[in-house]
Amino acid sequence: MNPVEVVVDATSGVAPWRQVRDQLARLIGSGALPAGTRLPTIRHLARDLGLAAGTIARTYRELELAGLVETGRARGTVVAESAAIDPAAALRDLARDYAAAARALGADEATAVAEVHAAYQERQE
Amino acid sequence: MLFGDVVVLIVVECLFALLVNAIVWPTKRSAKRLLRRWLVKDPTEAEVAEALTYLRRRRIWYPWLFIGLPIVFDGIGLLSHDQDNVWSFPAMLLIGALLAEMLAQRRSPTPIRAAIPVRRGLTDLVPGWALALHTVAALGAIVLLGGALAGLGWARHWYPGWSARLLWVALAAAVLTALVVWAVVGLALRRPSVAELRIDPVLRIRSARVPVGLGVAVLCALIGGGQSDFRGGIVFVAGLFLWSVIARPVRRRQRPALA
Repeated sequence: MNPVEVVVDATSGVAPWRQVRDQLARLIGSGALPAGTRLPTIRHLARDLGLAAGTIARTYRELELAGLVETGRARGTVVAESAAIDPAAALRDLARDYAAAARALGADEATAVAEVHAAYQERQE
Repeated sequence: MLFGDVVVLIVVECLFALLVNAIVWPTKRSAKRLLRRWLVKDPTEAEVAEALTYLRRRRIWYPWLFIGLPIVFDGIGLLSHDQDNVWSFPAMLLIGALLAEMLAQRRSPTPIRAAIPVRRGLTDLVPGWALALHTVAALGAIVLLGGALAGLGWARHWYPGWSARLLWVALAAAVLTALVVWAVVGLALRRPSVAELRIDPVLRIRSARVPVGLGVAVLCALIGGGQSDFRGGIVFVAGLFLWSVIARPVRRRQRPALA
């Protein structure tokens, strides 16, 4: 089983804090990071991803404003109990991103759907 | 010693180091074996390559430490020649681990980096009971040796016939062992993730548990070394047994939520 992960691509053109925020939000929204999960400290996550501590601090602030995480002195940053799991919304976001990326590569709808189907088959093997 | 003799000695030692290096140098096969032993199912080529880098960071130091440490011990008059070789082996493993973890603190130069977004703590790497055991063993060794140096009867009785110099050396060894073990565990906790995230927790756990186990064994040897009868033997054997228990691969259900 592959671990839950956050990936930052410094060449993608998207600000690192936004990449981390979007991925964490997606993981929380899909239930992959359930309520009560303790996120790494700012320093730890910054060091793991090769980012400045301020970048991760901003990410956590954004997530807190969105109601997805809570921060306390003793327990650090945890996924909020109130962070609602909405797989349908998460899937919609993913599909939207995928469709945009496939269109940018010049792929038509049938090809893009075929690749998704193939990826599912691969996972099941 | 004549200059020519020194040159010959250095050449012989270097050749021996290269020979030892050739024997312990890890291969893809040994890296794969390590991952399988630590319960990584069907490791990919990339994961094997990562494990290979992990092993090489450690073993590259072994020949030089194994040869250099006795020279250092002897040179500064710490131990007699027949004693320093015994202590070179655990010292080599611990210092090798420390140097490897220091090297691993460097960030990967790749533009794509990944992390597991779950907090990791000390007890995610080493069970609490093992950390407690190491602390107790360290305190026990330091108190006994310190007490013997201070002339306390009950402590002096535990180390009959040990000179003050030997007690100082043993005390320094106990303190340094404890400090190096804690440093390695702290660095293993702190270092950036490896690229292959599936094996990242496994390598961290191994990096932390092996030195803790070895530290317990060394500290037990320092405690047991005072007694030449069965009591010393029991403590020594107990240390070796605990090393094997602490350093063994973690069963899947014991693994924390990191993986």
